[in-house]
Amino acid sequence: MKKMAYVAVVDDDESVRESLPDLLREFGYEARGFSSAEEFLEADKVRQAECLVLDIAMPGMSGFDLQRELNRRERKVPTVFITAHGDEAIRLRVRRHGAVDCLLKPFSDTALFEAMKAALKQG
Amino acid sequence: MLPTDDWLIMQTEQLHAENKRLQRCVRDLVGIMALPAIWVGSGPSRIAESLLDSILAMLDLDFAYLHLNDASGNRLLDVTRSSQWAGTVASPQELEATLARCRLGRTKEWPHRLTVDGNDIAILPVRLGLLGEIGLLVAGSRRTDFPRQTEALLLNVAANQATIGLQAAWQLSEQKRVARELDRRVEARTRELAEANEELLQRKLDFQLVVDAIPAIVWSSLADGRADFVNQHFRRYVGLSTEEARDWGWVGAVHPGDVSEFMENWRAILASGRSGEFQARLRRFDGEYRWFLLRAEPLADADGNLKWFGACFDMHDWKKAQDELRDAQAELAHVARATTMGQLTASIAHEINQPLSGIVTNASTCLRMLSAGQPNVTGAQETARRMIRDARRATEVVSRLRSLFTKQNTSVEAVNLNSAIQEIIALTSTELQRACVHLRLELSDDLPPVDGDRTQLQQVIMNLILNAVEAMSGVTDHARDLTIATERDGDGYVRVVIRDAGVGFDPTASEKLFRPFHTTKSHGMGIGLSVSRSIVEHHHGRLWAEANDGPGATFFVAIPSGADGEAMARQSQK
Repeated sequence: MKKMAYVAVVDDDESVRESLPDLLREFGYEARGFSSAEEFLEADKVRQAECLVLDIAMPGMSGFDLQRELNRRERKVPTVFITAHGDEAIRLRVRRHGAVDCLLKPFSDTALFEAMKAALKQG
Repeated sequence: MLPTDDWLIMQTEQLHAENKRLQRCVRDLVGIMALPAIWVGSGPSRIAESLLDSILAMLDLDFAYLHLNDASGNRLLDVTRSSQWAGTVASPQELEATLARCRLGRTKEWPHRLTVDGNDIAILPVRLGLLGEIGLLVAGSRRTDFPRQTEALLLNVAANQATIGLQAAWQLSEQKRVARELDRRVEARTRELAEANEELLQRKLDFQLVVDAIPAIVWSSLADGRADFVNQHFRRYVGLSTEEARDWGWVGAVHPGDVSEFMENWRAILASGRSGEFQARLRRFDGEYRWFLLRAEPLADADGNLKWFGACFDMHDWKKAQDELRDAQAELAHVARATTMGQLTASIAHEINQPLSGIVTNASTCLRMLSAGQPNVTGAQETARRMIRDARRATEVVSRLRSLFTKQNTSVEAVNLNSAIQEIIALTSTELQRACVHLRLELSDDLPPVDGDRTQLQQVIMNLILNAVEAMSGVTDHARDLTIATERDGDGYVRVVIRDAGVGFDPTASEKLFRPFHTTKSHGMGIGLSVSRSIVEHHHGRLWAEANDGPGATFFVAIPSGADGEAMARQSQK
């Protein structure tokens, strides 16, 4: 049986942090939620995620800060950004910075599924 | 005894001689009587000389002396005429000096004879005028028979004639003097009047120049409102001549749409007799109508006749600016609301999108769990519970929004600023987190409520918080600390203090921050603080800013505590 990809969800919002890993698991991925970038970085030392679903606006390190930190550590992880603040302009800007996609909350399961597939294909 | 021939001859000669003397006397008298006619138009000096020359020629005299006074009784002149003899024994000056000494005494006291240079001379003084007030005529002769009766008669007649002549001369002289004085006075008065007229004319010209130079329309009218004067500015503006504008001609320049109201206002002012003003459009020479403010002042002359004086001030640009300002203020209020709403909407969207995102994701998961070959009912129940929880969270956000925006009209109530602030923080917390702002709340425990519009005050606080976040957006070298504090000051005010660590502002320009359209941001219109201050001032409060000692700025909102706020605060402390 093919080993399913391990996806990390980093979001300070509890609703998203709880619901998104469940849905990803329904898609067949292995998924875990983190409430902050700092918490994720700590766990990433133990087990490295193959894909990131990353909230942009978070207390402390933002989603962009985390991406920069991973790049600094030469940890290249396919990333799907999610945000409740955004509009189409943000989405295009995020894509230009190398992310697979940027989903605007609330997003459909189909949109998430397509983004995950694209991300893992890139990875 | 019969007279002898010799006696007869002698008598005849005597009679003949007497006859000759009498004839001569008559001739002299006629000559003397004719003198006044010769003297007509002559002066005293000429009369005196003529008199002395005449009597010296008529009578066998050695000298004749005449002293004349002027009209005031003062010495006017002394004239002496003498025969060849007298001229050899005494100069006219010596004779005058001698006779002048005698003249000082009364006529009766005059000597009948004088001794001049050893010669005995008989003299006859005759007064000119009843009391000698006009002068004195003195005739002198070495003859022993002087004065004969005819000589005395002739000298008295001559003196009388001289008196008449001199009086006529003086009268004439006085008449001439009076005429000259009159002429002088008339001339002086004429000159004064001419100068006064010239000055009056110059003043009139100056006044006309001033009135014409005034950059305003100036006019005057009669008591019934008919114009009797319009200045040059008016004539040039409306393109009418003085004659065309006179009476009611000037009303032709009033806009047809304003004429009726114009006449109504003007008649009302005329009837009141008091100053007044009204507005109307006046046609310019090129046909353009402009708004004017017409002011009229009544003025009564000494006889109580009323006249009206007025001016028309061009208020077209001002009126237009007022209209534009009113439109701009309405637009500004609209933009201000829209701007605040726009900032708020972004924050609210996030607040609602988070639970919505959870609901959508949980719903998708739930469906998948239930539609699997072996439905995961337990998992589906869990996701359904999460959906309910997230939906409630979204509902709470909507409720807060409703409470914030359902009150469209200004309403005064007792507002607890602590809870108002906490509601705003709940709405902006995501924005604060996103901007990495560290919030510190220092809310007073014994804060009295304030009377005011809760929604408006919350808009002010939200605006100040969003400004603070914006000011700190570029800060990377120190913490983005935001402190929101409430406190009571000693003057019955409740204060909200919002201190940031942002870019701050120039301390000398703190008031500029509150001017409309003043902004330091790359975006935004710079009206948030202006509108906020309006709201605070509407609550009889103050909004001001101070630069911090360190980085950033502090904004203060001070609102008077409510009428029963103090009592309520004391009650809550018990």
